[in-house]
Amino acid sequence: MVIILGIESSCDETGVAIYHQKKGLLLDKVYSQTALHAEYGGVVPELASRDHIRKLSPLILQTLDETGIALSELSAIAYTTGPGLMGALMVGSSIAQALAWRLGIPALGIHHMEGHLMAAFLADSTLTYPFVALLISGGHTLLVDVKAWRSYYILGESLDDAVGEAFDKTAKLLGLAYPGGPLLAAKAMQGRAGVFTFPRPMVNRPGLDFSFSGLKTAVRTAWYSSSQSEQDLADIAYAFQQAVIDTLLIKCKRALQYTKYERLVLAGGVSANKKLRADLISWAKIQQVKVYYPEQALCTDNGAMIAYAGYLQYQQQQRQSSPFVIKPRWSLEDLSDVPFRD
Amino acid sequence: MPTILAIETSTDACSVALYCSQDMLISRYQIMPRKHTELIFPMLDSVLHEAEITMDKVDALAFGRGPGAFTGVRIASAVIQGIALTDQLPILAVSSLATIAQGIYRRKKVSQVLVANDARMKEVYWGYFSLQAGIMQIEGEEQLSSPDKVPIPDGKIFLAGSGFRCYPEIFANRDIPLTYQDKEALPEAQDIIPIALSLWKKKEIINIADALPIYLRNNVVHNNLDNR
Repeated sequence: MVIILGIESSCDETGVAIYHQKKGLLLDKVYSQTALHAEYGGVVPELASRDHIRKLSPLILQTLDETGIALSELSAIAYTTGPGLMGALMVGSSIAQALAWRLGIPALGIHHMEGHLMAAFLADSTLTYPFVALLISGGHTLLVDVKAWRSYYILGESLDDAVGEAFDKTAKLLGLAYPGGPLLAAKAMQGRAGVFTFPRPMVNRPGLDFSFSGLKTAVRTAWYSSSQSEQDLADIAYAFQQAVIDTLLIKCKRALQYTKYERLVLAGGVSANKKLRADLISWAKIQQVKVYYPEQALCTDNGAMIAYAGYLQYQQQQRQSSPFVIKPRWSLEDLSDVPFRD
Repeated sequence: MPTILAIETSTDACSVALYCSQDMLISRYQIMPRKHTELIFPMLDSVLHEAEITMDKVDALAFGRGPGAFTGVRIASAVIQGIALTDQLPILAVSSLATIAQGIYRRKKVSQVLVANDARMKEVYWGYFSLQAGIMQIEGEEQLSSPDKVPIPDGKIFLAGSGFRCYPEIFANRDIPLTYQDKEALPEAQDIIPIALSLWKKKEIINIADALPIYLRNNVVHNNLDNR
């Protein structure tokens, strides 16, 4: 029986989960540091590392306790090697490597973004390759051609701010508290369409890359020339969110046309955005595309996706321990066996 | 006496030690900045192999809990936590400054050591240690301060640590003989052992949740945000 313990510590979430070959995901525990960083308006890397080392081992013990799994039953430890914050990755890697060393089982270093990709299978087992994945979070904006396991090709990425970052920065300039992204989305619910209009960045250019920093400037200009009422805020939030969503949808459509795939996977923390999901669903019906998106707990950073990605690696007979080296910068394409360019 | 496995990674040096008995202390030590992760497990395998024992025979784990490089002290602490998870082994947390002082005692047989390590940002981690029953004990508390705030006591005092190399002005107006200075001194896991044994005797044992680094520097926010 293959049982994998997954550990995630790449940013401001400490995640531990256990994936069981027969029973699937047994438990997925996440401790979020959001409150810790809120007063600084952003993630403070050193504070993140200090919190991970306080929380991770107790969370592992709690997970084992609640699932009734003994450490001796584990087949391997999967942990996030990168990309992410150096000090934060180091804590998870050190505990994972040491635990695996003591147990005499493999320590499988997992790419954080592969975890996000594979989470889609955890959420819906009917998903099959190939598909286009849109990975959107506070640190990443990627359109990926996923041909098969470990065959990932980046079709487009953000040239500046990640989507989540754009949401947070825009929220900040509108005076909303940290983390502002979800607050901005909530304000947008009260906003009216058509009051403000912002550009859809880079849609008139060929290619699948994104740029969101210009949008921020447009929002700033609109905000300072408005009366800054609650309704203005809501209307601007609506227009900003819609510009982002439209841009994402236009690029997704292009990616699907280019690859000729019929499946689109949405992943990463920003994919929890309700308006995005709603627009995507109605858009997908018209386009005759099947859209897969994990529930919110699997969209944000978590240990389950790392445990599952580790499980897949283990099942591919790749069972040697990863070197004890973290990779704060690491392209998803480096995982692909065969270089792909056309 | 317990069998103790010790790790120290708070500086550019990476070291492990395995204490089996008074006649059997096995250690590994290497100065290799930023390569601790690559060295640590081969070192642990190697000391266990030489002692011809497995982890089942280890009674307690000890680690250098700092102060020192943040990432370094977290590696020692996290590795010890990870190893301890399996058997919930007792853990002994040992000051990295005391470990330097203990090493000076082992090599020079002096009984008073002022340890000051470079803490960057024009500050040093420092502590004043004196020998009691073969163990270097802190006088007062370990501190983080600017080098000019480090008092050099009268009498025969040994100066150890990178702080004296980086900030020679600390002892500029004092005539300290070269034989009473070691500006390159680094903490070694073998010197954790005597201190860990004394903690064991005093039952100053901690569990996994408390096996955390001592940073001394807690104002880290502005520094980090400014560097982004």
